[in-house]
Amino acid sequence: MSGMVFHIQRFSLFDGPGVRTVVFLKGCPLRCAWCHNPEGLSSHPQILYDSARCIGCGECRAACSRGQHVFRERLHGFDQEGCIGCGKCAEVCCSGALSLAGQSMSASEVIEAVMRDWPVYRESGGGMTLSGGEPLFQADFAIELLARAKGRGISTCVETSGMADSRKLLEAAAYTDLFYYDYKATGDEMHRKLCGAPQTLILENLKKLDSAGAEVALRCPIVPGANETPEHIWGIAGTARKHKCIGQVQLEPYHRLGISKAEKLGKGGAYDARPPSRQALEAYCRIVEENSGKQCFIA
Amino acid sequence: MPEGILYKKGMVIDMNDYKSTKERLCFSGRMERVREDILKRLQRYELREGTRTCPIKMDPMPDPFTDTFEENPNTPYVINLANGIVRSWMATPLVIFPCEAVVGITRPWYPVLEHFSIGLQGAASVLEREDKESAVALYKRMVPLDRTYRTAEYVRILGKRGYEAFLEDQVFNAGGYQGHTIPNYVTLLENGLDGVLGLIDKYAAENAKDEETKNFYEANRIIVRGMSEWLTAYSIEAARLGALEANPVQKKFYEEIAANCAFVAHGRPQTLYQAVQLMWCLSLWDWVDCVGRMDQYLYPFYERSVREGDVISAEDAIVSILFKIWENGSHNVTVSGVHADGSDATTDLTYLLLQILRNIHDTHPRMSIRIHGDSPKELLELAVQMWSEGMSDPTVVSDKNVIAGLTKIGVPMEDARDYSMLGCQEIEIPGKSNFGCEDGTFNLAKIFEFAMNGGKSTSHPDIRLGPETGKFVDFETFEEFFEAFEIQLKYFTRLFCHLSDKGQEIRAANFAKLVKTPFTTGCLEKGKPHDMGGPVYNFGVVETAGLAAAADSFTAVKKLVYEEKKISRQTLADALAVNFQGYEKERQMLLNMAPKFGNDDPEADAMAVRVLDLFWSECGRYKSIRGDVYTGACSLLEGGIHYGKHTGALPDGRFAGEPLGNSMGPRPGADKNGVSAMLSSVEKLPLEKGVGGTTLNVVLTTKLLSNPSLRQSIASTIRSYLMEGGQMAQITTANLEDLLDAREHPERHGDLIVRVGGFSIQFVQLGPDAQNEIISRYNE
Repeated sequence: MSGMVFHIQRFSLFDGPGVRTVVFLKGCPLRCAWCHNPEGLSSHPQILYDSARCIGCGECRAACSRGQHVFRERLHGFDQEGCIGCGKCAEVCCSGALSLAGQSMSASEVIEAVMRDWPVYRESGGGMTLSGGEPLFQADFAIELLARAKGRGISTCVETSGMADSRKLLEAAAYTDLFYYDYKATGDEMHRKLCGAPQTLILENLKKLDSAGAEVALRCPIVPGANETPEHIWGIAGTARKHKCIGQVQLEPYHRLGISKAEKLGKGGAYDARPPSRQALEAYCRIVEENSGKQCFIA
Repeated sequence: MPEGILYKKGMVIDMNDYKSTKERLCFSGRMERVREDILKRLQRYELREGTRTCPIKMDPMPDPFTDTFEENPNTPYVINLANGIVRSWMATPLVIFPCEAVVGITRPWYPVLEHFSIGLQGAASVLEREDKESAVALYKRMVPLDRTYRTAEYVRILGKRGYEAFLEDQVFNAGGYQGHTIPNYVTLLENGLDGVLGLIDKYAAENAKDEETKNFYEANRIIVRGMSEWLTAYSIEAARLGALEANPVQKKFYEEIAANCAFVAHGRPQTLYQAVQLMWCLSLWDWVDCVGRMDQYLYPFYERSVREGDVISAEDAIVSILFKIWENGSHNVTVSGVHADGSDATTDLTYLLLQILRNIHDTHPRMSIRIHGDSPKELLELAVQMWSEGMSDPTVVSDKNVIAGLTKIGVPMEDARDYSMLGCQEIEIPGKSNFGCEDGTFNLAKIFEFAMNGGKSTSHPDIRLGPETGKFVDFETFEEFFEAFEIQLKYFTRLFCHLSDKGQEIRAANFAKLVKTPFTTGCLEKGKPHDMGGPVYNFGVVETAGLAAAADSFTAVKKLVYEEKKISRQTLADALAVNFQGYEKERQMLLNMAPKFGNDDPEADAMAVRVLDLFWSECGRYKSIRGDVYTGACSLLEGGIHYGKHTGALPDGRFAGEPLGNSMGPRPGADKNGVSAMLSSVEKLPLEKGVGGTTLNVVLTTKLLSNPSLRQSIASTIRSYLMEGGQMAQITTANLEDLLDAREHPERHGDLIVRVGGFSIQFVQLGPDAQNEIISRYNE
């Protein structure tokens, strides 16, 4: 089986126990305003264009059969609209200004790449983490990767929005040591407004993981101007309290790294705000800990 | 609890938990006072490396060394040398600082022939005297051979113009370095000075048949007797001060020092306090060169002192000797590793030394931990904890890979297991070796240039230094091109080894390392000086620069020129000749469209393996005149910067003059796959042939070490690297913001310690190139 992968990141220390390799899968059902991996949204390959690195050689124009690349006085314009993500332009781009996000890989190719750090997993108790996008958007592929990783004896984690087919999620849970489960808004209205979909399914899925005895860390992006509200902080605490599967809560302060990625995708108007203050985060942490009885960290 | 001797016997001892990463050691009141005084003195010293840590100024500076040669024109050289060294020490003021337990200060700067055999500045000063003829005669008596001997050989081979071009091109530096070695502290401590005199007499009786050999043994006697004399002088001075002292506590200290020095002036040390005083005497006379496996040879004394008590506590004795090493900038202390039978050699003393180092928190002393499969977990955890506190010591070294490499070149297993780190992270068998560390440094990237240009460099296209191997544009296949490199490499390696030998001849003629000689196994037995093959092991060590740059250049040429034909041979040759001016597209292709070493990429890594294996195997075909083969090494960061300045543009996309990459690591900024991928690449290299010592500098953010579970992960990563195929790793931890800020505002960051090759140094003391290199090595 193969799937669409947009990045494999080795030596990650912040996405589960020990030293890990994170596999980023393409495609996501949500459209969160602050998305920091916008190249993971679409399930198709996409070209990222970094104008700062372009030296204006023009090779891409010749390589593209659809005329997406335009040059005016060595100034390079790229039209995302109509691009089929064939990747031919990125292949000939000498400076790395053009790159292809999304590559079809077989499960065994991915596992082979992941297992390169096997000695480090063995020493540290680390392993593979699936991320995205929403890794369960390619559910069968994700499940196959998890099963194979388990078969190789390494630890497995999944970073999920929870917006997934319940049956598939539970199937994945059989091979998953730890879920990082997103909690982004409190209440359907807020969730629909910020993430483009209702929260109902996400909460139902969390309950199902709870009954199935999965291990979950609740991951909560704190985005000023979007969900940094008292109701939401209380919502986090209440959700954490209600589910015994949740061992800990992580508050993830909003950061601006997604903006430059959105620009490379030719998308303007990415969410921009000041990251929340350390002081505020610590206060939220205390509230969550006191009202949920669960440990809370700032990621 | 390894070995747990202290606890097994059920003794209640008031001591710290040395293994703890949480609790810190508390120095005793006495040692705390000594520490404060050292800190004050350190601020006044000009330079800790070398000899500028003498706390006293002498005006005019007496020069009994030169006097010895002047007064005894007819005495054999080696006898004058020994007497000159002893007289110099005896003319050095005897200084005992308040509360000190171990005594002895270093001398002011002056002719340093006994260690720095080619650093003859001191002796050369006599040439400035009025009477030229007698000045030259005196100089020749003091320096039987000097560096002009080696220069003459360069000129003979390369011609005058060729030699000038060679110097500017910096192809290599051969035979010009003094060479650290570790004297045999076990011999010293097991025999005492009189016992060593007895050994000299014994071997002299067996071997001294001719005048020359008799003089050699006599010179050894003079040195050892001189050390006795010097310790006696300290004993008398301490007694004198004790008689004058009003404060009863300090009076007692003086009396203890007097008794201690008097005993070890002749006797075989019984207690730890005696052992460390005697050890310091040799270390100081040995120009504070490296001291080897301190936690091993001091352990019997330490254990006994803890068990039976001593004049001063075992902890204070160890703190005292480490403080001396700290103040005087000794090169390297090695701890842990395995015993001769392969079992774990970690003891309480191992942890105590590390904890003292942790409290000192400075660029010295440098410490290396030997890690093996059965090392206690706590050991590496303590190291990681120290890194997380901003230290760049200790360095970690893989027993598995070093011992395998040593046995491969013929060192018996038992001795291989006793190896120690020294200098800037070189390796040797302590007390038994002269590895000539380093015999010189060799720039592989420059050889690449010679292969491109048929034996000429880019900067001197009119002067042929290497063999004529044809032009790059004429090579139809990659293998033809690589063959040209091979021919150039073989030619220059042979030349390098030959010229290293010339430098070696100078050291041998000058009886360098005379102080170490009676304390180095083999010298007395064979009746041979240290630099003439006296020690048991006499390997040569070749420092390697430019590996990543040469390897990446080959990979790029193979892929883009020969396989994919994206760049023609002519275009590449033209682009390199003009340092890529007008060829930015080609440069970008070379940079981005060919894989680079350091990313766990099979193709790029295989090329690095091929280049390095070729070079180090070639070195292994030659024997140094000391007697054993040359082996590889790679431990200099500054080397990559220095040699980079003299290397032209290369097909890895690097502009002329840019750094070549540090030590075993990738080119600055070329590794993009994270620390574990970088380590995997380095693991593939034939490091077992780099028995001279191969360091890898890893820069980590403080964020990666900010909590215990992250520190565990880092410890696991390092352990896995050392167990898989890595040889050595040294860590720099800092925030990128701190480094950037320190570059702009050096005044705010005096305490930022980073690792540069084998050195720990304050970041702000580095030149801009080295600072930038460290910043570019930054791994998030």
